[in-house]
Amino acid sequence: MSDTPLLEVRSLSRSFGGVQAVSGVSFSVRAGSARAVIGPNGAGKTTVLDMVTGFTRPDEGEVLLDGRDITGLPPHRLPGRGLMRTFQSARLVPLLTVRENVMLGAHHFTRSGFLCDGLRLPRARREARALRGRAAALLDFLGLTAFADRPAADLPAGAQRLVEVARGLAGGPRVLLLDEPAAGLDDTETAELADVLRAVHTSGVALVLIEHNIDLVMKVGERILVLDAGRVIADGTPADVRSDPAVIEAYLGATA
Amino acid sequence: MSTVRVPGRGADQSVRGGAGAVHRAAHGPGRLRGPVAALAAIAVAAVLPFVVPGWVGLLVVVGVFFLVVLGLDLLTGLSGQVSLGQTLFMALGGYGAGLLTLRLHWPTALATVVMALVSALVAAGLGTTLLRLRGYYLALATLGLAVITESLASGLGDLTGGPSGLVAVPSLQLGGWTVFSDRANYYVLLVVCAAGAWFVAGIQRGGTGRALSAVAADTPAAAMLGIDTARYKTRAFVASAVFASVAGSLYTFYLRFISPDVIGVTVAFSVVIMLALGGSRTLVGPLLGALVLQGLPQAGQTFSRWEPLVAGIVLIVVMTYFPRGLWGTAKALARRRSTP
Ligand SMILES: Nc1ncnc2c1ncn2[C@@H]1O[C@H](COP(=O)(O)OP(=O)(O)O)[C@@H](O)[C@H]1O
Ligand SMILES: [Mg+2]
Repeated sequence: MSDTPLLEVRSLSRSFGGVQAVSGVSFSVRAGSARAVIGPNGAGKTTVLDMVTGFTRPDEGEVLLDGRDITGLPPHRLPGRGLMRTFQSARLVPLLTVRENVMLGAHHFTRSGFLCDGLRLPRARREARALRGRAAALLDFLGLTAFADRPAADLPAGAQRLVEVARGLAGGPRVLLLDEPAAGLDDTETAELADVLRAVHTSGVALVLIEHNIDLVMKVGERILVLDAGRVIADGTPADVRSDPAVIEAYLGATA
Repeated sequence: MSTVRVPGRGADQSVRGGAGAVHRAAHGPGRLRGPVAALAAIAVAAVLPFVVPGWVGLLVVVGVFFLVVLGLDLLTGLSGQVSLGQTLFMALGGYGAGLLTLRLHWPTALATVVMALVSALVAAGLGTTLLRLRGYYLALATLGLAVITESLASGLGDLTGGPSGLVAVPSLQLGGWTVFSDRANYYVLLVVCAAGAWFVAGIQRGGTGRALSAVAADTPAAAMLGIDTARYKTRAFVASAVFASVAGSLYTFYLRFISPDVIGVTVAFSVVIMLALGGSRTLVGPLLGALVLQGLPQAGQTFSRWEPLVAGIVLIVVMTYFPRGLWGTAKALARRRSTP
């Protein structure tokens, strides 16, 4: 049923030592929708994302994908279920080229293992060709073709984050979770990223965008979740959130 | 940019079914260089016994270690997991094949294959536990394997012949051919090494190599790409064990003998040193490392006493100033020349 949200987070909590990083955070993401998560540094945004993707085990609460419990599922099982993420600081494979990094995003579709690759069986060639094609299309889409055969480590930080977005898309996600993708991008690059994310959203991929850059959030987010000190202080449309007194005090007030 | 449909779930078919996706040849003329270089190397190797007849015995041993280091390159070079315990698998291959042929009169080739499978199983069993460890913990635990291997080889005297070793092992038999002379062993190793190098090259270049590189660079991030990191690490360990096991069997059939010294802790170290010295993530690096480390003692009788010292100094100098190893450094220099 279309009533079941694609992704549902139910009262997630997590503490580190004495610090309550996240307490009772709930939200849901419908298929094809775009949600932004904002909040000051240390509000718990990354921790929420880590719990959704199996990186960090929640103390309490659960995560449902298509209505099924995926809490505590190992991270490597998630791309196959349509969930991909990017990291707050790009975590590319420095020795591999940009193209190879993007191909890695689609690795979970492949079945070739040591024997297939070592013996160069037809399946390995076929899969390599398909991955290469998919990577080429995405590099083109993100304007990264010029960098394709450079080692990822050689790229400036801004370009590395775009490569991470390309890598996330290569996995064919139904929902892509992005942790501050605009950090380290200049204004032009941020505007380009906004276009890219809107195109991604238009193509039917749901987005969860953790972001500091309010312009990007307002351009891309359909619903905005505002966290402060590990708690949800607002959840609504950009217009609702903009006029919410609690939000203005806690967060927007500083920048508006 | 608006003409590109963002690949969503629907595009999966191009990967799963392999329907013709957009692609272009990635490397242009560079793609030819690999096979040409490989053929040239094999041609040189094929005539080498006639050029330097006095060195054939040394080259057999170089071939044995090249094989071990090639396997280790998958585990340590590609997936970033250090193993100081490869002698365990050399010993399984060596003693196992020696005993199966000597005591049970199994065919030598069958014994080699069966021990390779046994080594694979042992590696799969150990790998799931050991490879959870990281950094020095893994290095220490695998060093433990090397220590245990050497002491069991000495201690289980009834089975292994104790410190003096297992003697009168038969030569390798291939069909009706007895692989006895240095030269015959050399050609067998040439074929096996070429096949092994070809296999490793396929992994290095393929999706498995990319996945292993991702595991080495950042294991949690690799998991988020859908890579079952524990499984990849274990499989790399299994592959490295098969290489070491086959090398151990062939070494034993060549020497017609195996003793704790052949698979001792110093040998376990020297295998890792060969990889570091030559340069990992390549094919030439392991060969270069094996040549240098096995070649050193041959540089003169008086010198051989100092061999560990010189090897140690060379290693310190190379690791300090050229952490990519001899071949990695040479490649980087060549690249810098060609791109001003
Ligand atoms: N692994 C960790 N160990 C200890 N404290 C952590 C850890 N991860 C996050 N925290 C703490 O949890 C709080 C929330 O952090 P985080 O989720 O990174 O916030 P945000 O992404 O919103 O900036 C911070 O106080 C941070 O110091
Ligand atoms: Mg964060």
